[in-house]
Amino acid sequence: MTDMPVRKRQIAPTLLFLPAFSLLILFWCVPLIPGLGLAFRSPGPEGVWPSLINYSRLLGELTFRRNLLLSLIYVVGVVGSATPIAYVASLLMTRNIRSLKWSRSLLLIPWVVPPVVSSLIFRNMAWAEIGPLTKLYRLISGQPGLLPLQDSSWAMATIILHSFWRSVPVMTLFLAAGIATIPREFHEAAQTDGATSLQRFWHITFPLTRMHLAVGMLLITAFTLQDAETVYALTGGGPHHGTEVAAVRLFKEAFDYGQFAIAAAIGSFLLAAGLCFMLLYLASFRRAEATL
Amino acid sequence: MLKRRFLAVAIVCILLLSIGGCGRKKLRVAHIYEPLAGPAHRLNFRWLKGVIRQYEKQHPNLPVRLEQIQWDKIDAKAISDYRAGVRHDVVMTSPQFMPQHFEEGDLLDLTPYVSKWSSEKLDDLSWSPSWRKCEQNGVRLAIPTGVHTRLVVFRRDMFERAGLDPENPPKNLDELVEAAKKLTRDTDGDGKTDVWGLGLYIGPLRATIELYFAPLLWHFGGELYDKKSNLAIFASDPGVKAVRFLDDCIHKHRITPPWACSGTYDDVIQQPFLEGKVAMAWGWGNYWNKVLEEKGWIKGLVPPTAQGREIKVGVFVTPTETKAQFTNCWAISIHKLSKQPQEAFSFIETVLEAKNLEVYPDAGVPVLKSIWAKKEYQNHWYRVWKEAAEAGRPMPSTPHYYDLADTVANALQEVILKHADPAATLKRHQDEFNDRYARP
Repeated sequence: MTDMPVRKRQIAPTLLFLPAFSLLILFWCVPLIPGLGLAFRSPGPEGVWPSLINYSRLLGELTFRRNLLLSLIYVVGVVGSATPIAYVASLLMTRNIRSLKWSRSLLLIPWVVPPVVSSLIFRNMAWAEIGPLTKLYRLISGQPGLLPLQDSSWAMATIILHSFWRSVPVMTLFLAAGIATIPREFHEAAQTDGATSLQRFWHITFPLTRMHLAVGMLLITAFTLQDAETVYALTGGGPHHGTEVAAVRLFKEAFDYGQFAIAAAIGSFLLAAGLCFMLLYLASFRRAEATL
Repeated sequence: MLKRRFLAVAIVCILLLSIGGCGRKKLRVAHIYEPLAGPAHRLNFRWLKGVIRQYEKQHPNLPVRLEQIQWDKIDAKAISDYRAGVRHDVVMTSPQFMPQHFEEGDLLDLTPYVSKWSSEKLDDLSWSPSWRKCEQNGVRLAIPTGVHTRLVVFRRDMFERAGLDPENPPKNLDELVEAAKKLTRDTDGDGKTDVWGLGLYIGPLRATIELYFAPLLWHFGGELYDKKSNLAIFASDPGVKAVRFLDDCIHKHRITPPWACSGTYDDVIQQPFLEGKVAMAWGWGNYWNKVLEEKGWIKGLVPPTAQGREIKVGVFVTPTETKAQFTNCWAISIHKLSKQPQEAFSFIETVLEAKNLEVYPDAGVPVLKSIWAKKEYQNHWYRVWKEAAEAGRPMPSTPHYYDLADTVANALQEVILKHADPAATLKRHQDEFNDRYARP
């Protein structure tokens, strides 16, 4: 085979990929580059460029370090709680159980409710003395006077619970799609060999849905990391910065304080965090794939 | 074939028309909207449409393009659009953001236009605290279109039941606390408070600094901010006294609900008062008076009539030494990028006509002295509101006001919810704020 046909063969897929790549450049890189550039501009209308002052200010601030920590807790809390539940739900959904068929449509409700609306519903549920969540938390904690939205830990738990409620459907659909692609013969063969349900899950279902799991977790991580609107509507970042995740801080800096350069710097931290999570998920997926 | 040709011609015509429409000279007016306001929003919109019709009749060659921006983002939008080169002509603004507008330079100086006004017109409009706040370093950035002030509203029937005289409401903080103690009640005998004497809000929003901390700080002789040094100075003895007063209302006197530190100002003040869970609501805004009228608790007062009277509720000015409550308004400005400032000011003058201001739903209480002089306003209810408006004070002149408000709210919450030391907590938050902005 000569070089020419190979090169020709490479040109065709490249050309086909070009429109998608151009769109990616247009809608992702074009706004991203000036955004990142803004992060290196000192605050104020006559800011100097380039400057590291936004980063040094943020890293020197106890509040911002806390914002990052809260973001991490938020992501770990949501992904950690939504993933196992979504796995169970997807396993149930893909079984041919007639009574569960209606659940597929119902499952999507949390996802289609506008986030701010669902946040306000959760805020009412955890509101003062009367909210059902308040009563539940009081029962769990044994504190009869607990006011969840005035206690940073319980307020954070409410935010995680709300995002968990919203994330489970997406994750479930992703995993159910993955489970549906596994050929039935694999399970039948294993069953013939005497494998139990748990063994079949562990040796067939789980390894073959790892990619779906990684993508689903990545999506939920990205949603949670960027989530300012639901946290803002639920707690406003309070009490006393107790639920002020980095995305809420970004929102406040940009739209309340008019500090766009600081907001851009926070955005770059969130971008870096998202990339770290992506690498982590993909690395663990590849490691697992290599052991197969 | 014919159909396709017709369709193609129609599309081209629509495109040409829309391009032509875009190129036509228009006056861009950025007004506020509140997505949750419902009927109130519709009333404002109707009023605005009326003003626009009036303006367009006078300026037939200059149609108005209305741009609606969420109320709490309009100032930030004017600034960011200025930076991005996006033009508006007329913009609604808030007095508390004037220092930021001044620093950013996104609003036109209205002094040359206002200086042409007669002294009577100026005198009619320039009495309110917001008028002063709309001028920064000799530059007039905006003109108030109304007065938003706050005071204490109380249930007259609850006063009578507690043996208090509704005609003689509290005149100082001690009397306020004593009255609140008498009004706080467990109505069903289950050991839980059902009616709280005094409603206060100490949540994560701006209302905390504006309606509670600042009036108390002024009462004890303190200030939030020193304009000369550009430093926040709320961590003072008066600041500590103000925090202690708020903390005592919840923990020591138990006259304020413990859930006052979460939710929104509406959740904690307006709703509980309307539901009868709070007997006196400190920080009641004039924008809520319409609900009182709808409930029948006042009659003929919103809109004002000569027969107006209080039925079930009464009002009194915040009983601090200064009687000062946070007072602001919706102001009207010209965007610096406007290419037709003269026409924009002409629109502002249309808005400021007495007949328009008098019926502007978002105006609050009147901004023109001449309206106050009308017989509909000669009753106890409006006398108290006028007293509150005259004694009112704006928020301090810092371009970082929103951050200052958040800083104070967080400090207060830390003291009240975590029982932190007031002096040390206020100092730490103040230093953090000053480190961010004020020190060279």
